Amino acid sequence: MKWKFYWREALNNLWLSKLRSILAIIGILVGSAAVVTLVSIGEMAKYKALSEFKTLGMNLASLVVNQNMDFNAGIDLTRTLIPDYNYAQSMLTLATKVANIQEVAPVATLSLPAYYAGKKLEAPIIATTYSYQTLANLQIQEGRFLHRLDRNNYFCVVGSDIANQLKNNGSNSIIGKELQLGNAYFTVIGSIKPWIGNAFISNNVNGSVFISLAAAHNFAPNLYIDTTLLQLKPDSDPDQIETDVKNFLAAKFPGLEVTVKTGKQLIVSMTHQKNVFTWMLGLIGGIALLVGGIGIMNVMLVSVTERRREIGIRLAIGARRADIQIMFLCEAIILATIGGVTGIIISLFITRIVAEFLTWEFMFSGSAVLIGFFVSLFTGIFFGIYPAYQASKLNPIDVLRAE
Amino acid sequence: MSLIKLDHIVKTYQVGHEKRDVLKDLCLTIKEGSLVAIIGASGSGKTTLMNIIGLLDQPTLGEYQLRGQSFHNLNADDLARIRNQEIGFVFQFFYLLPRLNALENVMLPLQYQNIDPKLAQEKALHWLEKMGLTHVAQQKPQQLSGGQQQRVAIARALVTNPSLILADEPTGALDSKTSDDILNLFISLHAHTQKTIIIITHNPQIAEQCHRIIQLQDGEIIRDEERQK
Repeated sequence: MKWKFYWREALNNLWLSKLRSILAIIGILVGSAAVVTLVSIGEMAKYKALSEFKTLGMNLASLVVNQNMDFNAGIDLTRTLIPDYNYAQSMLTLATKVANIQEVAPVATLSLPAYYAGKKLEAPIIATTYSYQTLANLQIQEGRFLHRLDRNNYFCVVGSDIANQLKNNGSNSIIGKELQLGNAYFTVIGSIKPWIGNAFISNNVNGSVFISLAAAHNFAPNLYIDTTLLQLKPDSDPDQIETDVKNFLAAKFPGLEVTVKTGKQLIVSMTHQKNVFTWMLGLIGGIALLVGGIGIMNVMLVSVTERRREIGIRLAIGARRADIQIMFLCEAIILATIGGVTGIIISLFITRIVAEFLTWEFMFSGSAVLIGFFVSLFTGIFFGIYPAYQASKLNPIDVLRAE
Repeated sequence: MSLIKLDHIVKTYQVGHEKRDVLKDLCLTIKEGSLVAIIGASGSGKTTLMNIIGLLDQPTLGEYQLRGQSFHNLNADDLARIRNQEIGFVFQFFYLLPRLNALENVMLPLQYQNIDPKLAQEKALHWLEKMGLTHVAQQKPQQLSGGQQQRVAIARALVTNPSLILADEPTGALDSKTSDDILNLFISLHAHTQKTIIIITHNPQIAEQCHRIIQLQDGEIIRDEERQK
C-alpha cells in the first residue's frame, strides 16, 4: 500500500519538474540506446561474418608449412623443407590418401610483374589448381576457370577488378586477351564475378590473376606453396583429418612441421573475436550510460537541494529516513526506467537503419535489450542512492530554521 | 494527568568556540487537555522548547517525558513514528507542500502510517470539512489565502488524531482579522476535542486567550500563570 504512495508521489514530483526530469531521462536514454545499439550491431556483425563463413568455409581446412626461422643463422635448410612444386604434387594426392578429403588446392603467390598491352597491372599471380574454384566458391563472369586439362597451358583467369581494368582498355570481352606475366605470355580464358570474401581465404581474389600450378612451375621453378586449401567431406571430423594429414606428411616428409587450421577452429576463434568486439562496443555504450547515471545523480542532488524544506516538513510530520530515501530512489528508478526503455526503442530504429544501410540481416539482440534495460535500472538505483542518502540525512530543525 | 513533563532540561548550542545555554534547567509539567501559551521575546528559547517537546530536538541534559515515556534511547525513525502519531505541528509559515493539493497535504501524515489510501482520504476530507475547506480540497497551497493555508495546516495536524498540538507562531504570518479567526479556531478546537494545545507566540493578546501562560526569558521560566476561562 505504501509503495503505491511512494510511486505516485515520485511520479507527481517528476511531473512537476518536467524539464529537469527530461534532461535526466535524455542522459540515460542516450546511454541505453548506445549500449543496445552497439551490442546489437556487434551481434549483427558477428552473425554476418559467421553466416558467410558457415556457407563458404565450414568444410574448409588450410595447411601451412611452419618455417623454423632462426634469424641469426637464416633458414635452416637441413631442418626445413621448402614447400615447392614437388611438395605440391604430394599434396595433390591427399584426397586419395586421407579419408574424408574431397578437394585439394595448393596455392602459391608469385611476385612477378604483370602487364597488359604494355601497361603494368597491380595484380598478384595466384598459381593453383582447378579445385580452387570449388574451394573458394568462385562464380564465373565470363569464359571459364582453370581446368584439369589446362595443366601446362599458359592460360589465365582474372578477378573482377582486373577484368574491369582490361575492359577499360578496349573491347567488352576479355577472353583471348594476352597478359604478360614475368617473361611469359598468358591467354585470358575467363573472369570471376566479384568475390565477397571468405575469412578462410586470404587471397585478394578480385584483384588477382590465376594460372595453373604446372604452368607456373615451368617459368617460375622456385615457386613457394603458401598454403594448401582442403575441402572436407560434410560431417567429417576435422580433428581426425588434421591428425591423418599430419601423419601422412610425417611419413612423406620427416621433420616437416605443418599447421592445419580447420573451419571449426576458425569459427571458435572468430566467435571469440566477435564476442570481444561486441563487449568492447557494449563497454563504449556503458561509458555513455555511466555519464547518464552521473546526470541522474546531478539532477537528483539539485532536486534534494531545492526540496530541503519539503524534506524537513515530511520528516517533521512523521516520515522516517527510509521514507525519504525511498521517495528519491523511486524518482531515480522512474527516470532510469523511462530513459532505459525509450533508449531501447530508439536503438531499435537505429539498428534497423544501420542494418538497411549495410545490407545486413536485421537482428535485435534480446540479451542487448536485457543488458540495456537492467544496466539503466542499476545505473538509476546506483546514482540515486547518494542523493537519497543525502536527503534522508537532513535535520528537520536545521532545514526548517534555514528556510 | 500530566501529558508533558520536562525535568531539569538544559539545551546548549555551540556557537563558534563558545557554548550557549538556550534552555537553563527548565522544569515544566503540562496536563492533558490544557490550552497553553508559551510567550517570550525573540531568543528567549521558546522555539527550542517547542522543538524538544515536539521531538524534533533532544535536550543536552535533563529528561523529557511525553505520556510518561522518555526518549533517551530512541532513534530518529522511532521519534518520527511518535511525532506522526502523537504530535500535530502548526507552523508560522504553514509549511504546506506546494506540489500537493490541499487534500493531499492533509493526507500526508496518514500516508506515513501505512493506512488504506481511501480511509486516509476520508479522514482528510472530514477535517477539511471541519475547517470549512471542502471547496478548495483540490487546490494547491499557492491558490489559497494565508488563512486558508493555515487551516489546511491545522487539518493536517489533526488528521492523525494526535494527543498534542504544537503551534509555533500560528498567526505570525496573518493579518489581524485572520489571526483572530485562527485563534478562535484553536479555542473552539480545544473546547470540542479537549486536546492539549501549546501555542508559542510573542503576542500577549493571543496568550490571554489560553488557560495557562508560560513566559520564558533567556532560557528560564519567569512566569507560569494558570488562568480560569
